[in-house]
Amino acid sequence: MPKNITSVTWSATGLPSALTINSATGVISGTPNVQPGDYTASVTVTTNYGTDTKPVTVRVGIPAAWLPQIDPNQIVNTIAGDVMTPYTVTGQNVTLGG
Amino acid sequence: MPTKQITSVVWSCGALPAGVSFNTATGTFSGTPEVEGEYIVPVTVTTNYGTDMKNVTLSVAEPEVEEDGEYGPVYAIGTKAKTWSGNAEADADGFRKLNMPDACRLVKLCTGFAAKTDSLQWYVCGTTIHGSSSAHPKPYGVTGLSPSVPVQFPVEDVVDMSSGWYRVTSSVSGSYYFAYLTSDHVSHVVLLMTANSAITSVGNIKKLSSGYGAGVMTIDNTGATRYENATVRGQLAVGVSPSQVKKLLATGMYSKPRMPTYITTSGYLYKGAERVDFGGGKIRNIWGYPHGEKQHLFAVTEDNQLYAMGENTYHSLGLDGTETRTELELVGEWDVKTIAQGSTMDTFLLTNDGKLYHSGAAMSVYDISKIVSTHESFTHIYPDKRFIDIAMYSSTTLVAILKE
Repeated sequence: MPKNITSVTWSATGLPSALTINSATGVISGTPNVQPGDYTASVTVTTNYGTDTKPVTVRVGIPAAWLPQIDPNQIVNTIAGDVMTPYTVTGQNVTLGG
Repeated sequence: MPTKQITSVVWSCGALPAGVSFNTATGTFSGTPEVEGEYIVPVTVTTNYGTDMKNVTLSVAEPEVEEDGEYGPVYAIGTKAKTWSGNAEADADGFRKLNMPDACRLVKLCTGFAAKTDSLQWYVCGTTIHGSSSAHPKPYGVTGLSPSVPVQFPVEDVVDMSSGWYRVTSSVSGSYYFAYLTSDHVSHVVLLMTANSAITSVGNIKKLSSGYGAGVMTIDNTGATRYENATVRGQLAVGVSPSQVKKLLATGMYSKPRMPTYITTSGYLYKGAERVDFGGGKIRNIWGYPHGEKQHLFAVTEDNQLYAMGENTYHSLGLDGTETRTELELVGEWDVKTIAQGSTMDTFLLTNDGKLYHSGAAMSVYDISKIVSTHESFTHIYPDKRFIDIAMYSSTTLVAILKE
C-alpha cells in the first residue's frame, strides 16, 4: 500500500516577534521586530502519519545602516612638542545609544 | 521596526607616534607628539552590531623654531631709567643698563604698569623653541620689581607673555597682572603676578593676552575663553577654534563693545566674530594699544606690508595727515620684528635687522625729547645701536635688549 500523506500542518513557537509560519506550507515570513541575533524557534509538523518537532534557528541579520563605519581620510594635524588638541575619530554608528 | 540600540563601543588602534595616546572608550587621540612625521594609524571600532577599520593619518609637523642666539643685556631710556638702573651712567644716547645680574641676558621683554609701586617686569628665556621637548634645554625666567634685585626662577619654555592692569576702583588702580605662558609635556601654564608679587599658577592655558584695563584674557586647552579680572567680553568667530588663534589682543581695537581682536594661523584678522577684510595679504602679526577711545592697531602681512589704524593726531601711525583712521591703511613695506606703543602719541618699530624706527610726537621718553624728535613717518633713530627686543613702560620709558 503506497504512502498517502493526506494532511500536513505546520506550527511554531518561539518565533521572533512579527514572524509567522504558514501552517499549510511551513514558510516562515514577515518582518522581524527584534534586535539582530539568533533566535531558536520550535517548529512542529503534523501529518496523518504523525508529528515531529525540531528546533529551527532564525538568524536576524544586522541592517547595513546600523553597521559601524569610520569616516575615511581622516587627518589629524599636530606639532611636535605641542600639546595637541584632542581629536576624536568620527564615524557613523560609533557612539553609544546612537 | 526595532530601534537601533548601540550598547557597546570599543576602539583600538595600531602603533602610535611617541607621546600620543588613544582612549579606547571614546576613540580620542591626545597627548604631545614628540617626533615629526606622517603616521598612518589603523583604527578599529567594534560595536554590538559589527566592526570597522580605517587608517587615520596623524601628521606631526616640525615645531616652529624661534629666533635663537640673539640675547643681550637690558637698557632703558626715559623717566624710569635712572631708578631702575640704580643710577647707572647713561651712554651717549641716554640709555642706562638696568640693575640686574651680569649673567642675565634676555631674549624677550615685557613691561607693565603697576599702580602702587614703580615696577618693571621682564623675562628671559634662553634657547627657545616653540613647544619644548626633552631634546631642548630648559631656560629660566627673571622678574624684577625695581629697584629690588631681580628674582630668578626656573620656568619651562616661555612661548608668550603679556601684561596689563585692572582698575579696581575708579580712583585707585589696584592689581597689576603679568602673565607668561609656558609649555611643558602635559599642558600650558600661565602665571599671574599682581602688584603684591603673588605668583599664581592657573594652569592649562593655550593662549593669553592682556591689555590696559583689561586684566589677562586666556583660552585654555578645552577652548574655553576666560578673563582674569578682565573687563572685556567677547567671543571667537564661529568656526575658529582656539588652536587656530595665533595672537590675541585682550581688548579690541574697536572700543564698543570691547571684544577680542585676533589673527588666526591662516592669517585672517578678526574683531570678535567678524572677519576684517582690508585688502592686504595674510597677516603674520598684530600689535595693539587699547586705551579707551584712543586706540591703535598695527598689522603686518606675511610679505611685510605694514598696515595701521587708529588715532594719528601726532603721526604715531606713520601715516600722512592727522585724521583718525577707522580702517586699516597701508603704511609701507617694513620687515617688522615688533612694535612698542607707550601711548597713541608715538610708536617705536623694530625691524628684523635690529634697527629702531620712531614715528610720532616723542612724548614717549619725553625727558629726552631732545634726542628723540618728533617724526611724521617712521624714522631710523639711534643708528649706532642694534636692538633685539623693545617694550614701553607707561608712555615715558623705553626698555630695550641691546646687541652687545
